[in-house]
Amino acid sequence: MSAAAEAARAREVRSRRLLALPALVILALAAIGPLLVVFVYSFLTPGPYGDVVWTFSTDAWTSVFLERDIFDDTLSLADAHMAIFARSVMLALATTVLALLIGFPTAYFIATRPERTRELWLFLVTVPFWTNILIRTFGMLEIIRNEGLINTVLGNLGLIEQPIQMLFTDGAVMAGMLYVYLPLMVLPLYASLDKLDFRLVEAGYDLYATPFRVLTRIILPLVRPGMIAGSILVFIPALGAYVTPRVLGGGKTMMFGTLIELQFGQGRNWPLGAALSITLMALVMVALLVYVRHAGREARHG
Amino acid sequence: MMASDSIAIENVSKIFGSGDAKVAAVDGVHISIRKNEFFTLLGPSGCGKTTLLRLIAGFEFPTSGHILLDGTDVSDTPPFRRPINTVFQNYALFPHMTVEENIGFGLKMLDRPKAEVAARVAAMLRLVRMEALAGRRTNQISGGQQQRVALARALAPAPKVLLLDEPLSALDYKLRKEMQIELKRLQAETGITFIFVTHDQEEALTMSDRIAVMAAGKVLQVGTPREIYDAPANRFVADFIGESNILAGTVEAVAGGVASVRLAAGGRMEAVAPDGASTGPASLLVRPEHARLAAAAGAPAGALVGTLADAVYFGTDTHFHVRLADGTDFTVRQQNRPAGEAAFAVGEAVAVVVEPRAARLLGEDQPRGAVP
Repeated sequence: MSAAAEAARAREVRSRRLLALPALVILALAAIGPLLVVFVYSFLTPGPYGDVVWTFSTDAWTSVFLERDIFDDTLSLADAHMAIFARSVMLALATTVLALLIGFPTAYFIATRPERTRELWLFLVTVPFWTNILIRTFGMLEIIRNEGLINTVLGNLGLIEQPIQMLFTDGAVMAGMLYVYLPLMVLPLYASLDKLDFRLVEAGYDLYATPFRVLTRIILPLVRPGMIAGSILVFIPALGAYVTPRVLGGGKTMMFGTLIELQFGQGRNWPLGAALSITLMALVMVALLVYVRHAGREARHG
Repeated sequence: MMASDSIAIENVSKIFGSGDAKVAAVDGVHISIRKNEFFTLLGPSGCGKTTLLRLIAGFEFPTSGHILLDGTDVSDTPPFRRPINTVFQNYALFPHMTVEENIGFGLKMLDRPKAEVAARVAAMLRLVRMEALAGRRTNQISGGQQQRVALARALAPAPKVLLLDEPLSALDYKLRKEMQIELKRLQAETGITFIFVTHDQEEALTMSDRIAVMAAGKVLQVGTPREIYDAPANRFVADFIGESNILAGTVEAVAGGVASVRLAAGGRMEAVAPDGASTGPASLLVRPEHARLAAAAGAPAGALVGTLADAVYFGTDTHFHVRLADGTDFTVRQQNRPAGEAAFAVGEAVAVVVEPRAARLLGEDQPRGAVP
């Protein structure tokens, strides 16, 4: 390549970078900027009425994991926080597993419909997306509250005397999240199942595999990328969910999202809220790394 | 069914759809396939041969009729309980398994001991000469190798019957020829009944012990390749297998298996008549290699005369297309000899001399609509 051509190429590369500049600026301002603010705030001191005082402090980070005894100043594991982390992870995991258990048959059903009706089924799966998540969650509330649909019907039928307490329980939060995030599981699962070559299923039957073994040895391994994608798409928002635990869990069953909100609101401890937010991000990052590793292995297998 | 039968298909029909959209993919098929036979289902696409194969495999269940395997009715048995294995058209190898795992899958599903599976897989790898690639993924091997793995996978559980659904159609010509020989070798070595589906008549003729010619869900004729080629049951079979010249005419007399036919193209011809042939309008079959060209002048009385429309050189032989007096095209295939033979010019008047006993009276076709 001649020197002139090389110079021209370099100019072109420069001008291309220039063209990407507006996008980079927006990305920096909208994504990285706020994250940086959160990161910096987590190392500051809380102000008396919220906000922050610009004094460096690691107190926020300490109190994410540890708590200082009010009498003798010793540090111990922050049980309350740990319990909330554990509950958040457990509820998000349970939601993911249930979404997988319900989503797989649903996606399989859609993928095995005749081509023309498949689009209609997919369309129906996306219908809940048309309504705001808050409205949908209040819909759920209306069904499960003590004076709600289920209790009223059961009461009128004479099956129960006292209303069943469903609202403000972990079960209510999980059911609400399951309802909200199920489509996020069904769609990637469908995409995987749609690509599945059903002749492989026949080949399995031909080679003496019972229907259960065809499912576990052939279908599930082949749709694993879809299962992983769906699980990540459900697990991440479920872990940081705010609206659902707030509405259906009440003040008692706190989750990550509600705990963070509390620090920025009534708690007036912005640095702690910021540190908790970053902790949540780290958890999500771990989940994503697991996903990338699995997906990468799958790609090599092809 | 007889004791030597491997598969007996008794009046099997398969109807898809309902109401007005009803289609009989397989329509009253009745054939028996002997043990250790290389049996071919031959027909154009959509003739029902693949559906019949799927019925034998158990992927479909007959609407009526029965399928017997070694004398046992398996019509309602699910595929995973039939000792029958399939080589699929596109191989359907499991992409998430290695070559070895693919071959061992059937035995593993039969819960055979690990040592037995390993020994059998090794034997199968040797049989199809794939030892070197045992650990490869199925997408890392060529089409011909995939084909051999598919064969080994289907043979590994030692099925009573092996079904092959156009397994060679995706291969190029040279590889196809090699695999044809390989298949015959495997069949001889394993002693398994092979049921082979193809639309390639040459493949069917060269490989099969017997052939069933199918059209529109029905079996038109079952016989050895020679029977099918030399004595086709009707015009459809004659047309489908090999090249054929069909001459219209009227049977004037039948005596001792020979019919005397007055041809629409002029002249008269003796033809081999099937049993029960009667006088009246009929079609005659003459294979192109059973006729030769002669100069029009001095042609024997009763010879077909026409104009040479075209001559196509094929290396080993030349195809002469002759337009007969009634407008019928007649092809003569003549072997090429060392230079010196009298050549015929296009446009010239020529005579077609049909060898004795080469013409054959064709039986009645299936009712109209049954044969596409």
